[in-house]
Amino acid sequence: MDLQMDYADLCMAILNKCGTDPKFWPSARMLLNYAIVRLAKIGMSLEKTPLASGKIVNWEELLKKYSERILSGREELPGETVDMMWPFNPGAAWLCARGKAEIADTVTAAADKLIAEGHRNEDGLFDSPAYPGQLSTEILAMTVPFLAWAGKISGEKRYFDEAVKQFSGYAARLYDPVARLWHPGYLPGPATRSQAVRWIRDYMSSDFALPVPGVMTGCWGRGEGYALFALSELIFELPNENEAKEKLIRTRVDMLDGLLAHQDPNGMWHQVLNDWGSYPETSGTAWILYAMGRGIKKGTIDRAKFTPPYLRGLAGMARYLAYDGSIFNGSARCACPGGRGTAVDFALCPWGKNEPHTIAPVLLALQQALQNECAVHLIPALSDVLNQISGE
Amino acid sequence: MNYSTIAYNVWRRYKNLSFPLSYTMILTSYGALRLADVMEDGELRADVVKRLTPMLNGEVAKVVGFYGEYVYRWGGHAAAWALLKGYLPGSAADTLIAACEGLNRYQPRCDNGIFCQKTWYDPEKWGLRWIDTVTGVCPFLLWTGLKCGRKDFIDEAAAQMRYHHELLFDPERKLYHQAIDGKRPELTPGYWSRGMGWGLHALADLAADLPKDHPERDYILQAYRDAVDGCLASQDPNGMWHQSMEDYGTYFESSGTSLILYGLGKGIRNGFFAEEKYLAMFRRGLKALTGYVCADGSVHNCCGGCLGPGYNGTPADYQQRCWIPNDTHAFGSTLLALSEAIELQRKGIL
Repeated sequence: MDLQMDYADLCMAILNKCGTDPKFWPSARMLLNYAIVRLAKIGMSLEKTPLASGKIVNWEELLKKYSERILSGREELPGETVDMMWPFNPGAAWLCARGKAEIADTVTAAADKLIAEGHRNEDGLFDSPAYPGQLSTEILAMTVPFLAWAGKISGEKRYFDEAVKQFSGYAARLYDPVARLWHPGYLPGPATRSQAVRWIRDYMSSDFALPVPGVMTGCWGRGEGYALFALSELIFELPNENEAKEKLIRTRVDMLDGLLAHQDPNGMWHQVLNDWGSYPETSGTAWILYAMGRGIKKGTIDRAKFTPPYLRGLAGMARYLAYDGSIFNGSARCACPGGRGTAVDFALCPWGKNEPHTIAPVLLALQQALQNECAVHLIPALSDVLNQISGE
Repeated sequence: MNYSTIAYNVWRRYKNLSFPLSYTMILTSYGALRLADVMEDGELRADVVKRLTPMLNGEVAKVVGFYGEYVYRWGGHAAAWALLKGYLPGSAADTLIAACEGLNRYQPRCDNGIFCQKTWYDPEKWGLRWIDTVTGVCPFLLWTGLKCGRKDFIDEAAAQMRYHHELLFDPERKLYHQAIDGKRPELTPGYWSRGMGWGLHALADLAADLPKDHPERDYILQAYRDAVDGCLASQDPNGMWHQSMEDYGTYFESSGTSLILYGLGKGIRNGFFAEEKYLAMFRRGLKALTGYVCADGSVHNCCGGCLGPGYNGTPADYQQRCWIPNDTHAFGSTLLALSEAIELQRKGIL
């Protein structure tokens, strides 16, 4: 452990603390795979070591180690907020899309299977097969980036079209254009027994009712983050000539713009985005910063407008990232709190230290900041950010 | 490892927050002075002295804390340390002598001479005694006495330590109860980690600086060894100490852990704990502490203000006294632990 901390140092501390601990693997879920191999690739692209301590990280070795782990690992993990299985390991699909794994046929076959056989609601949106009709922004995170990577790998437009259709359909159901916030899911009514039992067991919801079908009214930070993640990957992979790209970029600008109003003075977003009575939450903040950082890097959002809140967010998040790689304030047990998912239900979900679903977004946010600092030189080092932004 | 980076970040975080003037400001100032000492940082030292100066000038009417009137509003043991080390002008000595005299003369005592406060169960009765007192008064009296040649202050410092140790130390567990005669006319049953830290803070300072021929020195050294052994036995395998030290169901508490590390580290540095097991204990604690100090200097898992909480300071009572991110008690204790780590590194011990 080194105690000179910058973006890369924090990434490595988190990776060493959480990425290697068996208890986080696979409970940190599929997205951790993606976060680690993407970090390694960014590290390989940098001319010099980005660690404040001057230490050298063997990025090639890191990529090799985790690529092997990913490509030989299991692919059938259920999601966090749904019982749907991941259609494919996102780290593996991304490696293939970046030319780091030769599994194109496997990826496209899995994408074809998802399109042909994936469980859908009456509008053709992917839903939870164990709880038909349930929509969750996590399903977007599980499917849309994967379809986009399949499109990138194959060059076939139909994968992109399906991804765009899914995102747009979900947005029509779950995005509130007035509040400019997402609701994290849609509940179709009384759950199947197996679904209810799982939720009650795992999340201790003693009042599992789902009395009225409809959207979960709480605006959960990590739920918003899943939607942003799906959208950001889709935008990145979509060819410039795709007719949907411009509108999707505008949608992301609208989402990020809406989120600015809910960033607290310390730079954090809260467990319930529009209720600062709920606690500052790390995973949602990290997902938002990841998306914002990608937009700043590519210039698809107004850099002058978004860079100050982006830096404030990085400073705020640093308040919850310990020197040993521990992460504070990641929300836990949020499948469908209270059986309804109201704002208060989410606010009452506790946060945990080193909560598994927080690891990947924090790693992604930090590595994006690393890239923005060291590769494209758009932001200062974390130590400078902390010197400039004191918080309250 | 470079613990100075963490320590400076903690100090920066503290400066960027605003707290009411209380005894924790004294602790933080002392921690920052120690950091300035080990880093030979004149700028930091000057910054701290500047913060203490209005107190020494008598411009601060009130500092929150049970010893606010005679100790804290004059800069407490941070000012006494600065005086001892020659960081203050000569006129400060008169101020601190007057404060020590006021403390010795006017602070209510029980029959045996131990300082006390009013009980909570009977507001008319004096008798509340608590371990927090020893950090508040012992180093303040000791260092002022050493600098100013006042044996009576030194004797009082040692006596208060003995009184509190005899009253609150459990010789079997080798841990301190926090208080007696607070909410109820009995000892608080839990062993609060920050309370243990307060005891060790004072013991470490007395062991280091009490004159070698002082009649209480042997007693203090034995108490110090016993207390450290109690901490060794109750350290969680991960290195932290829990909020209620005997109950691993209570949360990991950072200010108690830090103060214990300060007391232990200072003892290792001064040669009182030469055995490897103590250094290993320090290493474990320090490593664990870095899991609660964040990249911007924020400190997590620090218990808020606490005196025999709930029913009467049971482990459950302490557990329900929640921890608070960046609580005012978090900074001084962390600075002290890290300063000891830096100094031990410099001496090639750590």
